[in-house]
This record gives sequence, structure tokens and C-alpha cells, in this order.
Amino acid sequence: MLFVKRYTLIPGLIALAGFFLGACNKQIAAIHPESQISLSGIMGSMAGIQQTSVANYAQLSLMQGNWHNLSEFRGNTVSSTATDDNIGDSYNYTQNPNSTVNTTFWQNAYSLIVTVNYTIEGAQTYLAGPGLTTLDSTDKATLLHIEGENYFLRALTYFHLVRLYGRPYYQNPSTNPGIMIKNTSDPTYIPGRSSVQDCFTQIVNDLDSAIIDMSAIDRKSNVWASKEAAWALLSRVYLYEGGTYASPAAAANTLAITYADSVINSGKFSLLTPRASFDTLYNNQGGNPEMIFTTENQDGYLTNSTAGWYVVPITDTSVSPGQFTVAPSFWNSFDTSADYRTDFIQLNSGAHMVRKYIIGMAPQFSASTAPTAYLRLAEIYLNRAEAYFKTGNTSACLTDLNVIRTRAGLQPLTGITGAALQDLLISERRKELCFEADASFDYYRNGLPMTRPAGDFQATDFTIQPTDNRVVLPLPESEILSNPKLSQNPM
Amino acid sequence: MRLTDLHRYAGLLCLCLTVSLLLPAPILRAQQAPQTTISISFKGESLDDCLQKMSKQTGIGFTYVAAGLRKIKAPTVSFHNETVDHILQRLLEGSGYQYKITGSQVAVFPGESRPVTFTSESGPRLYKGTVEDSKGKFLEGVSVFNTTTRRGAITDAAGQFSLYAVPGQSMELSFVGHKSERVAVQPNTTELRIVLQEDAAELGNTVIVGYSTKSMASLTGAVQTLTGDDVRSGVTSVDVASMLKGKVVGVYISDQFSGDPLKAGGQLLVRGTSSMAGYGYVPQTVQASPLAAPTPDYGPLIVVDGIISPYTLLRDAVNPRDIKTIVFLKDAASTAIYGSRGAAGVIVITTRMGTSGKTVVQVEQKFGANVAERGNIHYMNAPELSNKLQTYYTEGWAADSTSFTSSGFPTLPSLLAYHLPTPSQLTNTYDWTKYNFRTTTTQETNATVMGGTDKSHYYFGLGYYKENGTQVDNYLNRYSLRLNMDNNVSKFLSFNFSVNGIFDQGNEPSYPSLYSYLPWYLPYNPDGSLASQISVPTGQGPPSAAQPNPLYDNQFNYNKTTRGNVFSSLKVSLHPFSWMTLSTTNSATYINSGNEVYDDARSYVGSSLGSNGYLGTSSATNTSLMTSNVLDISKHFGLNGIRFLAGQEFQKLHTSTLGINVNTIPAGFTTINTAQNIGNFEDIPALLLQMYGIVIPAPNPITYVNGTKVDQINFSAFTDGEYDYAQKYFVTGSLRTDASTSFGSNHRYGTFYSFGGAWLASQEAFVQQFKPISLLKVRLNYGTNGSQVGNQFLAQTLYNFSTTTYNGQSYTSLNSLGNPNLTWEISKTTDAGIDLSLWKRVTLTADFYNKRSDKLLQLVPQTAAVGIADQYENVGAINNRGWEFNLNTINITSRNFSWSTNFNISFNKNRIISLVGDSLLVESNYNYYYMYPGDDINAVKGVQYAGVNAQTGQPEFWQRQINAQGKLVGKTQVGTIAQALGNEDRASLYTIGSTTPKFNGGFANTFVYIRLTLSVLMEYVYGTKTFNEERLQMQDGGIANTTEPNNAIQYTKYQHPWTGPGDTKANEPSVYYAQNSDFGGANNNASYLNSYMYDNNSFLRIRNIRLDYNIPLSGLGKALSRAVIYFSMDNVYTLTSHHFLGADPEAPYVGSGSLGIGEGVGMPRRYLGGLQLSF
Repeated sequence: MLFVKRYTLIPGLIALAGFFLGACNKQIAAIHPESQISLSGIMGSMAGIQQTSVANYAQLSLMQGNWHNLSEFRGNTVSSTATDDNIGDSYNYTQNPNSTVNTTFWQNAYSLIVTVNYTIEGAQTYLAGPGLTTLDSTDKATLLHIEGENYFLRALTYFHLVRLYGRPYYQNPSTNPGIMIKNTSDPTYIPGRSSVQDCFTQIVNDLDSAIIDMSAIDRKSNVWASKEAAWALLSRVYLYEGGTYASPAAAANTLAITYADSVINSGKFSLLTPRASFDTLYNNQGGNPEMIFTTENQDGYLTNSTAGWYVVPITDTSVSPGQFTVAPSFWNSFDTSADYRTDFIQLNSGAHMVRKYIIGMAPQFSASTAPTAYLRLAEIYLNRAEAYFKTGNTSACLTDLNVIRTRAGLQPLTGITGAALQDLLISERRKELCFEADASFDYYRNGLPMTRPAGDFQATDFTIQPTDNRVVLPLPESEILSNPKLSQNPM
Repeated sequence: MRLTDLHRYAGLLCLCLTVSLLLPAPILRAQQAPQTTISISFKGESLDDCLQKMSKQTGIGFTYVAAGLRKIKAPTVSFHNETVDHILQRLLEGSGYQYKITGSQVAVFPGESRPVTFTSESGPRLYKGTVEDSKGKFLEGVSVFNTTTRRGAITDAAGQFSLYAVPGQSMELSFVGHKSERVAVQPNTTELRIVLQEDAAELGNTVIVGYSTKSMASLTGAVQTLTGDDVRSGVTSVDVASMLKGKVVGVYISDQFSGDPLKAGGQLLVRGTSSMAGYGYVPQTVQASPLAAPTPDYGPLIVVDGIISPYTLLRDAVNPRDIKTIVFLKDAASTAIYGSRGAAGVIVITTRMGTSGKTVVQVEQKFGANVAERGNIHYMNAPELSNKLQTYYTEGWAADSTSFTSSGFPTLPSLLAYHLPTPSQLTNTYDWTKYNFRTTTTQETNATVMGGTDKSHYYFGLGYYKENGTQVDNYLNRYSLRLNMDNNVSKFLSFNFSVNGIFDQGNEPSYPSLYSYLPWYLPYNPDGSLASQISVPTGQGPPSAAQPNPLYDNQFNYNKTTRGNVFSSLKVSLHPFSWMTLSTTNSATYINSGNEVYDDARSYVGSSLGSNGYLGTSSATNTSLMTSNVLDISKHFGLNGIRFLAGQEFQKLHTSTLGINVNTIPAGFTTINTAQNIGNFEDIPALLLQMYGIVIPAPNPITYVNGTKVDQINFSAFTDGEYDYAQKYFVTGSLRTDASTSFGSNHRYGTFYSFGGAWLASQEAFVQQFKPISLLKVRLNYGTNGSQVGNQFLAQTLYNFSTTTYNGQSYTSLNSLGNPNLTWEISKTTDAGIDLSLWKRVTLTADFYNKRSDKLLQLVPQTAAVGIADQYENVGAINNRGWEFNLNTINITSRNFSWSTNFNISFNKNRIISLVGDSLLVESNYNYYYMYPGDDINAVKGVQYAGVNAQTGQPEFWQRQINAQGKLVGKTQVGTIAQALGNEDRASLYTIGSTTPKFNGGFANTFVYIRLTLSVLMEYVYGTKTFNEERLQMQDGGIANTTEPNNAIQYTKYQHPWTGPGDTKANEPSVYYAQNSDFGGANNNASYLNSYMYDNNSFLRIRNIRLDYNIPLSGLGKALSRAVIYFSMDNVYTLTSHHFLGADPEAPYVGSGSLGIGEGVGMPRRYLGGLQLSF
């Protein structure tokens, strides 16, 4: 009897061990990080999805310094003696595939695209799943708006990338390589480069989706994406697709006009006047009626690192010029006594210093709280003016140009046509949008060379033809090595 | 702990208790084996069957060789309520066999059986005795056996026993690891003192290897055992790791901070570095900016009394006083049972326990002086420093006067007048070294009480340790206690209960390097009062800002650390059969550590930064709950022995941290509630507003208030088997599965295994022919271990909560992308070993191992399209190969004198097999270099110093020419490190050496002369190279630093700075060029590449000398059973290479980011005296 009892103990113990094992497994599966949240956790609620969306704006905000370096400094509005491979490469057109600025921008851009994809997928999954039963129509519209905002952010990022790494649209867009289109969060999907044309199609598709998703709800403020921002970006995208002055593409320019009209006629934006309030363009960000889309740089730490390229704060009241100053030839192109836009330039220590991003700078920081103007109303007028010109409507073109001129305190012009009007278009756009990350593109997309006269701190004239290899950046070397599908741009 | 967990643990315990209640009746009949009464009848079976029958009925274990007993028939006889003792006597009468009862075990062996008779006239008397080993240490647990009466006794912790005997009878003493002695009882004395000689062949010894106790004979792996006395003999410390140095083979212990009693002690590296955690970056050719290395997670697993502890440092796990044995498990056969936790080796600690019989009280008091040991570091006095400055500026003027004239010094005298101290400064000096390094005291008081009854035993240890560091304001107080209890409720059920508490308090110096203050910095005002700050005269002497006065600030400021940790466990064991044990061990650990930094408003640091009094507090709490449930079966079938073990473990760890910084505190108050602001200086928006006129909204709150929590669960199931034939051939195998929360559900479980064999050749007749060989054993095993880096949840995609907002909205951003394919790092180890004992006096254990660690986790940069900068991947591989030798000899053994020796040496060769990309970028001390497959993971590289240009006094370096195949084809002497680098191509840097040794080990000698014991312990390390920050900053650089001037270290007699053109004897540049070149001037940090700055810190050290005198006790009263007085000296002498400059050659921790050797405060020289009393 004794033995029977003792031996029956063993299967009992085994059963007990088995039971315990199962319990342990459950516990292991249940354990989670205490200071972080899992993907399914954050995407499991509307508030969570919204939080991931807000993070994408913060990420965009952090990228602006490098974006500014790679775009504006390749134009002819600035002068620099910088030779540092991290700072001077874009200005000097040193085709450095190991440049930190270049590499970091590419990596940050794709990080943003992937997190945007996570947010879009999260919103879609939620709308198709738990959202079906738990969301009322207002919530559904809000969530759709979030999805739309992220389509906008993705389009903007693709557009940044394709302008830096893909040749101008007018040059064989169907065969020239653009950038990687990655519309999924799947880390195992490693694409190669799509054609420039496919990239533009993708951007337009994203913006179309953005407009549909955001149609039901009014915009919050200019630091959040909106359907108006999508219209504004579309007007610029179509302008880039609209060919050169020599050989314009009518269809694209017509669309550029259409979307510019949508923005201008929406009644949501107005140009800042008079001169005193004009000064607040780069100061009062949320309540600025001219700004269509910017990023908030005020919360938390100062995030506008663009400022640091132009100024070095000495104390709270004095600054000195940074590594990049206003090109003398550009300064001379202004009617300095009348043009309000020169208010953003200050003679300091013998150099003309850019003051656009000076707000909130402190001695120990090289960044400011100034907003970055991604899209503002003045540009939309200029987009429309150029599109009018390219579709032959020169009077409408001049009308739009005069809107910009009068706002800047200049006299309206009349009776200008042809080459003179074309020059005026180029010049006004350069002055109005100076130091806003457009300087180089406006030449190349129009098939024009970018020239810097010898007086801009260079011993000789410096010209880049629109067909030059250097019009586009090399892809980062580390990316060429780590992704065999990528082809390098000729340098 | 959550409530649900409580339920779970409580539930488990209840289940086990229920199981025990369900057991059949005999369990309640708790009696000692010989007195157990049974009714049994035999009908002429063989003796073998009879004994088995008795065993089944009583649970008594019989050990015997069955072959003989099978042939003998027992008488047909019945017993009714007779004792086992009586039954055995009857059964074995005339059989030619006799028996011996120890505890619940009965040994049956051939021999002549004699009747027990006491003659009334000479009657039995109670004999008392003391048993010691050859080193004069009491032996506890020695079995003393009256060969006539077959009555026995066991010695207690004081080595004492008492036993009845009649003069003329013999007592046989046997103890594991020692030769048995037979002593004839003399009629004229009842007090015996018996010395047992160590038996070099420790075959009969058992060793606790975690889950089970095994005999040494059956081990197939490399295992080294040290007794508590082995550990305690030697240096005085609270850190067991420090005490183990020089004593353990195959283990490298780096103990850089041994001079600071509060700092974490030795880092143990068992058989080389086998993980890339903590090492280097993936280089820039793959990624634009270097990436952080994974969190290091080194160190062997620490097991205390069979329970896996959550401790990573031995100092926290156990107080040295309480150790009974420490066992090192190094190879796969021994460690595979610990699976994922055993890759870096396992340390198994068993704590002390009382024995049945008399209660023993031991008291030990130790007291002594610590003298700062500064090696060859001598800071200059005022004239010496003034001379050096004069040499520097004079040479500088000769070399490059224009640089001085352009900065406003038209003539050399004007330059010297400005930089040199004034005559009054030269005479009015202060000795900062003397203030900072002082002779202090160490005090240790320990009391232990242990004892027990037939059924239960206990041990209680209590102690106080206070060590004042040799650096000012550095001390440690430790209070520790331990209670161990066991209770054998019945022969089927027993309990073990333990509580351990260790409470440390201490202070770190607020100014760790004030010894480099200039000699003319005066802490006192002319009137003799303490200066609130050191003001440096401007215009005269080296200009500098005011400096804090440590003497003044130390009145108020502190940097205190407290650590409290409590460990408790309850083990319940069931023995349903003599051959089966079921046990459940449940333990809980609570560790709290806190730190407080206080800068009083009156002090310089507390007031100068505008914080007006600052208090920084941080604390961390760790809890660990663990249950371990094991089934152990052990049985012999004739010559076949089988042992089987299966178990399961579940551990839940929780860590939380909290940090709060506050400022603006009234002077003298040190609580958070008295502060007006949160944060330190940088956190105060109001201050920034005041200073810069700007408002920075909401600074990152993480900087001033922070808290974290981490949960971790470990689950394992394991099994272990062993088979032996005739105690000659042994086969073992083990299997363990671990689950980790680091990996995804696909790869959550890692399974590790081992198998091994051993052949005890000395049991073979043909070996036994060779008389000198008393033991020969050959071992071979192979197995796997796993490990994971410190980071958790590697397989999950995770979002971080931002601490800032965007447009007023909080957000969560993507932090990591899960890699579901991630899996365990795996080390595969082959170990071959031999144990040899000759003439029972020379014992050699030799092992060879080859450990290949694969699938090592590295943080790998990802291509941008993945969407995240880096991710863990299983990519690296490292190989460690080495030899270990441990030699024990008894050189002389005579009646009054003996001399025994231990020599051990360990060789390790480390080699990187593969890496992600082609190389690993290591960044350390401003130097960075690449490591490639084939390199030692701990290699350091730089530019080879080529000597001094005899004409100019400038340093020269070798520029190496490397061909396309990577071979060195030539060398050219060049003037700068930049030239030597050649286009900054760091790929071909010269390998200066490695921070881990080529070999290391120890050498110990013990001499015993009657009552005197002298022991000398030496340790040695060979082949390490380490960066010497102190040489660079305080000797060959820094003197021209006018913003933060510091004193300089005198040149050693082996250093010859260049003195003038044609000085061919010089081995260092001129004072001027040493500072104003790549050599030591830290120009663009190039000096950090200079091989001259890497010191060979190989050393041979006499770590401890100790003399014990065992005081004769006659006339001292009955109460005292033993008294030993001793004198001990630590860190007696250190022999280093000529090219070593430092307080202590002890190497820094292994892994990147380690500081150089000169940084540490060396181990002090200690002179200690002590008294041990036993009652």
C-alpha cells in the first residue's frame, strides 16, 4: 500500500510541474517594458495613434537644419568660407558621399517615412477593426485626418528627397533615378530607387489621399498639416513638373494654378502687412495668417537648428554672423532703402547677417524657436505667377507678382512681358523666399544655371549648369554599401 | 510585487506542504537510524537482500559493495520492535563484515567483528579531543569512531568531540580530504589533540555544485573548491572577490578600486571574454556616426546555498565570515546545468552550518592600520615644481621664443617671472598629498554561534566592519548578519531556512584628485583659519581662477552611499525514498542602494554655480523572487551507480530607480523638503532667465526628477544525469532550457546541453602497480552555454514617451524595431583535464579548454530603408583557448614542522573570429582604433613611440608601411603622430598589447611549526598593457595648463628626459617637447595614441603574509576551547616593470571605457592584528 501511494506521487508531481510550466509561459509573455510601449499597445487606441503622429512632426522639426544646409546653401543667396566637410560640402558642391549632413538627412528622412507608415497603418487597422464599433463619426473623421496628415508628411519628405537626389523633372523623368519609395513599415522591404517620374506620381498620390482624408475637418493651425497645406504643396509639385521657361508643360502648370487658387481662395490665409507685422513672420508662429505649414519649434528645447548656420549668439541681445552670410551680390540686388524684406538682414561685424531665425536664441544654444517656413501664402502667389507665365497668361502673372512687390513696400510694375517678366519672376521669388530652402532648385528645375559672381567671397565666378552631375547630391556611401539595390549618382 | 504573484508563490508552497502531509505514516516516526525500532523477519535471503529490505522499511541508506554480501546467506530470524543497531549486529555476526553508522547512513564493509565488552574495573571514560588540520585550523564534521564499541561522534565547529572509550581501545578519525588516523586511547589522559593530514587525493570529498552534492570522483568537469578558511586567509576586505585573487585558477580578477572600500570590487573574468557586449562600435565606414555598444553584462553567476542569486558582485552576495566553501565551475560540463546563466562561469557558495552537539561560540576581533601605498607616484614639492616650470619655459624660449614674445613676454626673465612662483609662494606651501592620503584604520568584529540537536542545526553570524580608506573622507561601515537553520522534521521531511543581511554605509571623497593641487595653494588664511576658497594671486605665478578649498568644503559636503540587502530563503525537502529527494527552494531578495551628493550653500561648489546649496539623491531598489524545484534520484545497482536530477526554476526580478535633484537649500539642511527649487543649476529656468534674459520653457524633466522600472522573468527547466561503473568510469550529461524576455516568442527558449566522461585510472589494477600514483583521473567534456546582453525586449518594436511636447501635445516616438529572429549567444566549450596525485603529496590538476562563442549580439547599423538607425543582430564570434594548472604540494611534513605550497597559473588566448562588417571600432580615452578578426577583443592599439631625437629633444614615432596584404613592410621614424598615422588611416595601427593578461596566477606557501603558522600569498599577472592617464596628464602633459594648473609627478629613475643636444641616454623628450607635442601635450588628443602612455602593468605581488599563534590553553579555564592570535600584513611588496608609473598596477575593468591604471587609489598596505576565540 505504502509503495502504491508513494509512486502515485510522481505522476502527480509531473502534472503539477506541467501546470506550473504553463503558468510561467503566460507570465513571460505578459512581461512588458515599463518605460516604453509596444507597437500594438500604442496603436491600440486613437489617442495612441495620435501620439505617434505628433512624434512625426517633432521628427520633421529636428531635420530642418540639415535640410536647410543641403538646399539653400547650394544656391547663390549665401556666402561662406566654411570648408568643414560637415558644413561646407553643400555650399562648395563637394560631392562627398560620406558627408555627415547628407547621410544624416537621408537616414532621418527614411526614419520619418517609416514612422509615418506605422501611423498610417495603425490608423487604417484601427479604422477597419476596433474603430468600426467604437468610433463615432467625429472620431472617425479625426482619425482619418490623422491619416491624411501623415500622407502629407510622407509626400513632403519624398519631395525633399527627390529634389536633392533626383535630377530635375524636365530631364528624362521616366528614366532618371529618383529615391526609394517605401510605403510600408515592413523592415524587411528594402527598395531600390524609383524613377523621378514615379516619385512625383507617388507624391501627388499621397497628397491626393491627404486631401480626401482631411476634407471633413477644418485645419487646426499652421503647425499641423491640413488640406490647404496639401493644396499648397501640390501647387509647388506641379510647378516642378511644369517644365522649364524654354519648354513649359501646360497641363502641370494648369494644375499648379488650380491648387494655388484653392489655397488663395480658401480665405484662410492673408499676407502680413504692414512692415511692422511683417517682422513677426518668423516670430509669432501659431497665429501667423501667412504661414500655411510650418513646424513648431517652441515647445521643449529649441529645435530650429537652421539659425545656427547664420548667427552665433554672444549674449541675449547681441549676435555675430555665423558660418553663412548674405552673398554680397544678392544683397546688392535689393532696393535696400525700400524693400521690407531687407529687414531680415543686418550689417554686423562687416558682414550681412541673416536674422530670419534669430528668435529665442541663447548663448549656449545654436538653435532657435523660430518657425521654419515650409509653405506660406507668398510662395503660392509666386507659384501661380510662374504657372500663369508658363501658360502664357502674362497679365495674371504680373498681377500676382505685384501682390508680393507691394507687400514688400515696392511700387507695382506695369507693362512688363517676355524675358523681362521672366527675370522679374526669378528675382522676386529669390528675394521673397530667400533663406527658406529653395535657392538652388529654382534654377535647375527651370533649366537654368546657378551662378555665383567672384565677389561672393570666391576668387572666380562659380557656375553650375542644370545638366551638371553636381546638381544632385551623391547618395550617402554608407547607404550604397548597406543597400545593394541603390545606384550611386554620377559625381 | 503584485498580489497575484503572492498568490502564486503562496500556492506553490501550500502545494508542497500538502504533498508532504499526504505522505505515508513512517515520515512521522522521526528517529535516528540506529535507534529506529522495526519488526522484520528474514527467511534465509542473501545479506544483500536483507539490507535492501531493511532500507525499504526504514529509509536508512546502506552503502556497501554488493558482490560479497550477495553470496552470504542470512540466518532465518524474526525481530519484533528491535533497533536497527541490534538487527545489524545479529545479521552480520560471523559474516566477516562489520558496519558503521553515520547519521542516517550505514556503511557495511569487510572486517573483523569484535564483541562489545566493557570491563567494569577499567570502565569507559569520557574522552575529549580537538581535531585540527596541518595548518592548525579546527576541523568541523570529522567523524570519530571507537573501533571497539563502534560508537561515534562528530566534531563541532571548534573541532571538538567527546566519546566514551576504554584505555587501549582505538579511535578512528576520518574526514573528507584528509588521511584517516587511528589513535590508541591512553589511560593517563582524557584530553586528546589530533592532527589530520590533508590527503592530496581528495577523491572521497564531496562538492556542492549547485543543485546537488557530488563526489569529487564523479566530476567530469573542471571544478575548483576553496574552503571558507582558504578564502579568509589572506587580505582583509569585505569583498570576497578581492580575497580570491591569486587563489583561483582560470579566473582573472581585476581589482582597480581595491583602495576604495566603498567602490565595487573585483571584476571576475572566467576563461576570457566571451561576449562583445560593451565592446566598441561598428565603424564609420558602415555608419556615419559611431553607434553605442550593447550594455555589458559580464560576470559569473553567483549561487548561494543552491539558490541562483540576483547579485552580480560577490561583495553583495555574501559576507566572508559566513562562507563554508566556494566552488568555481568553469567548463560546460559543470555550468551547462545553469544554461544561459553559466556562460561566464558559475560561483557556488555554501554558507556555514552548526552540527549536532555542543554549541560553539566564536569571536574574532581584528584591528589594524592602513597605510596609503602610492607606488612610485611622488608629487613635486614647491622647489621641484618651480624647477620643472623653469626648465619648461627656458627650453620653450630656446625652441620657439616668438610664440612667447607675441603673447607679451619680451624676454625670458619676464616669462619666468610671470609663470614661476614667487619666493614667498615657494616657502609658504601645503602638502596636499599628505592631506589626501592618510594612515587610517580597519576594524572587524565577528561573532558566530552555531550548534544543533539531533534534529536541527543552526548558524548565526553577526559582524561589523569598518574601513577608513586611505584617501580623505572615504570610508565604509558594514553591518552583516546571517542566520541558517535546518530542521529534520522526520527522515522524510526537512526544512532549511536562511536570512542574510548586509548593510553598507560609506562616503566617497568629494574631490577625488585634490592631491594634484599646486603646493602653493594654501587652505589656511594667514591667521590660521580655514579659507573659504583658495584664492590665487593674479599677476604673479600661474594665473588661474579661485579654486575650491577641499578642507573648507569637506566640513559640509558629502557624497554618501548606502546599500542594504536582505536575502531570505526557505527550502523544503522530501525524501519519500532513501534514493529520492524532492525539494522546493523559495527565496526573496531585497536590495536597496542610495546615493546622496550634498553641496552646502556655504561651500565653494555649493555656492559658486548659483545653485545656493544642492542635494542630489538617487536610489535603486531590486527585488528578486525565485522558486527552484528539484527532483534528485540517486541509486546504486551493484557496480552501477545512477544519479538523475530534474528541476524547474522561475525567477521574477524587479528594479526601480528614483532620482531627485534639488537646490537652494538653507546651509546645513540636507533634506529635500528644505529646498526651494527642483533641479540642479542647468535645470533652473529662472536662473537661465536671470543670466541670459531668455525663457526656456519646460526643460527636460528627466534631468532633475527621474524614475524607471524594469521587470524581468527567467524561467528554466533542467535535467542532469550521471552514471558510473564501479566508481571507475563516469559519464555525465545535462540539458537545460531557458526562457528570456529579451527574445521573441520564436526564439524565446534556448536549450543548452553538455556531456562528459571521466576515467579514474588509478582504480585500475595496472595503474595501481605504480606505487607513486595515488590518483589519476582523466576528464573530457563538451557543452554549450548561452548568454544575452543586458538589454531587454530586443525582439519588440517599441515606442518611447517623449519628455517634450510638440505644440503642447505629448508624443511617442519609435525607439526600436523588433528583430524576431534574434536568438541566444552560444558558447561551445571543450575541456580536457587531468587530475594526478603522486605519493599523496603532489597533486596536479591541469585543464585545456577551447571555447568558441558564436552568434554574439552586436548592435548593427541598418540601412535607412529599415527605418531605424541600429538593431541587434547575432553576428560576432570570439574564441578563447587556454591552459590551467593547479599544483598543490606537501613539501615537508614532520612531527613539528610542515610546509605546503599551492601554485596556480592560467593562460588565455582570445581571438575575434568574425564581426559585422569587417571591423569593430573601439573608442577609449580619446583614442580610437579598429579591431579585426584575429585580434584579441581586449587589444589596445596606437602609434609606436620611437624615442627621442637626440639633437632636438623632440619625440619620434614609427610610421608603419603596410602592403595591400596587410603585412608590415617597413618603418620610418617621423616627428608627429599625425605623420605616423599617415592620412589618419587607423586601420593599420600598431597593437600595443591587451588589457587582459597572457597569464596570471598565484603562489601560496604555508609553514607550520608546532603552534605557529606562517602563510605567504603571492599573485602575478603578466602581459597586460593599460593606458596611463596619470602619466599623460600629470607628468608629460598639463604643466603648461594655465587655466587649471596641476602639480606634476616626479620622473622615476628609469625616465630620462632629454637635457640637451647629443643626449643619447634620454628616453623621453625634453620637458618642453613632452608637453608641446603629440607626445604628452594631448594635441588634438593625438597623445592618447602614443604607445609610451600605455604602461606594462604586469606585476608580481606579495599580497599577504600572516603569522598565527595558537595559544596553549592549559590554565585558561574550561570555557575557552581555543585561542589564536595573529598578525597579518596586506600588500607587502609589488614588483612591476620599469615602465610602470602608478600607485598600483592593478588593471581596470575589462571592456571599453575603462580608465587607466594611474587613476585608481592603490590598495593600501595594511598591518593587522587579531584574536580569535572559541568557546
